[in-house]
Amino acid sequence: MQENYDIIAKYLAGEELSEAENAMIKKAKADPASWAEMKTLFRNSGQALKFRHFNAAKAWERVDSKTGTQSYRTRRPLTGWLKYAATIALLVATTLIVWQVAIPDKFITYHTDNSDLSRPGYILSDGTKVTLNHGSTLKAPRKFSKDNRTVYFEGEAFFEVSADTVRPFIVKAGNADVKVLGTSFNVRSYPENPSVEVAVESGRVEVASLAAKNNKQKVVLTKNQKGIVSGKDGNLVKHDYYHKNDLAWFTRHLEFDTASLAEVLNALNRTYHCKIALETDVDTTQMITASFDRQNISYVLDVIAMTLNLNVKQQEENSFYIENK
Amino acid sequence: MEKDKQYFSAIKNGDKKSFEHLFNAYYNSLCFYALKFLGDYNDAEEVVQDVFINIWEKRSTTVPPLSVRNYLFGSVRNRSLNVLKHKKIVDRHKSDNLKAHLEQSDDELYREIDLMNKINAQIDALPPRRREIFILSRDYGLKYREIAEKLNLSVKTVEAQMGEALKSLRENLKEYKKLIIGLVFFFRCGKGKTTFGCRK
Repeated sequence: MQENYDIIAKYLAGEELSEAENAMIKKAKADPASWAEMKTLFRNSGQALKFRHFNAAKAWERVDSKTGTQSYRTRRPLTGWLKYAATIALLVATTLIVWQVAIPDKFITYHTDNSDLSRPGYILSDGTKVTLNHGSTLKAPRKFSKDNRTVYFEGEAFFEVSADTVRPFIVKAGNADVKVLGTSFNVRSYPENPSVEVAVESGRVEVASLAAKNNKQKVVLTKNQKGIVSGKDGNLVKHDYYHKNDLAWFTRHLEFDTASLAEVLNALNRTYHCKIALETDVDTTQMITASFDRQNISYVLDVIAMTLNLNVKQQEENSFYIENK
Repeated sequence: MEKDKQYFSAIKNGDKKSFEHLFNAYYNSLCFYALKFLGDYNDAEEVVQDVFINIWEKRSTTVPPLSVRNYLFGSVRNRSLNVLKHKKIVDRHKSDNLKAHLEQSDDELYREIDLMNKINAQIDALPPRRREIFILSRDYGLKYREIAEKLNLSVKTVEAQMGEALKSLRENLKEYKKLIIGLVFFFRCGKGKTTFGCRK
């Protein structure tokens, strides 16, 4: 039989279908073997694409440097006057940083508690809009200087930076500097998970790793791209796309396509900032396909539980326990 | 398989090149496996890198395993479960018997990974634009309308390209038909009867 692949793909991708198209699908389903093959192939392809998120070449650089013997580089201790110069430089730098951060009335601090899920939005003095996720702190000067707009940040926030071609907007987060002129992007930099993630929704963003061992690393990210600075060694990795779910705390839209239960729980934890404990017997490799738009966490967990035949118990307001039925 | 063993014995003698070969041959598959347990891409990569670093560091005392593949996947599984334990996602009192409850056998896992590699090879063979559209839809969960906007195309074009992609995957993976169907089991959406909230 001649398959209408356009409509079948459209259906499998979860798009809305017209009545005529739905009738086509009914016909296609009448051949169960062929239908199962296409459906599974479509699902499997999403699964297979996860392989591409892993960058073996980059990972090899890291493992290579950690296992020594070949391109081994020894660090020579500083000698003579260099030692003193370095000490003085360090002192000056520390003083400058302390001076910049500690003078209270020059800065405004925006803060959300770890349990604050209200996602407040603020407008900075240059018109930049910042939405804060839970447990986040942003320090911004009351008035930005003439040549840059530097803010200090910890936690997760979505920045919509107002355009200013003269003064770059710089977010100092963990061991990364994020520099932009006017664009929107998400920064995630919680101290308990020391890597810094930057996802760019529009415009151009420059991310520099401050802690890279060998040389200072820098990448330019454009629309849809994502950069991650490792908290361990400052290694900087660029991805061509970020996943929509990365920004779900802001957009409240979650999409799972053959994701393992472990992946789903991670994403839920990230989006709703909830604690989900699992009974040991629960297999975290079970697969789920579902999408949720502006749903609360209890609803989402109920759907997942029914799908995988599990039991969910709510323990506290934002704490859940999942067990096998 | 034999090659893996040769690599492994060469590693014992400090041959870094063999170590690199082994690393490249297995890295992505092992990460994919770790991801199933951990759900986090960074955690998964870290686990796999640690496994390899550990192999190198203990190379002089390690007895070459009967099957390098089993050894690697087994190490990744154990380490992943340990990470889960540490993260306290797992109920601490009962965490010792977790291993017994994995539903997938090694054999099924290897067949799955083999198929995934075949599918990826076919996706690689798609024309660049079609490939990009397919990846945006399948991997990044974008709706057709969003893909069209991002790539400056009409929704109709996206539809047609997705259809073409599905068609060529199916035609080129015909010989794996059985395997594809055999793997249905692992992608249970709506096991039991409840499928609401679930995409078809």
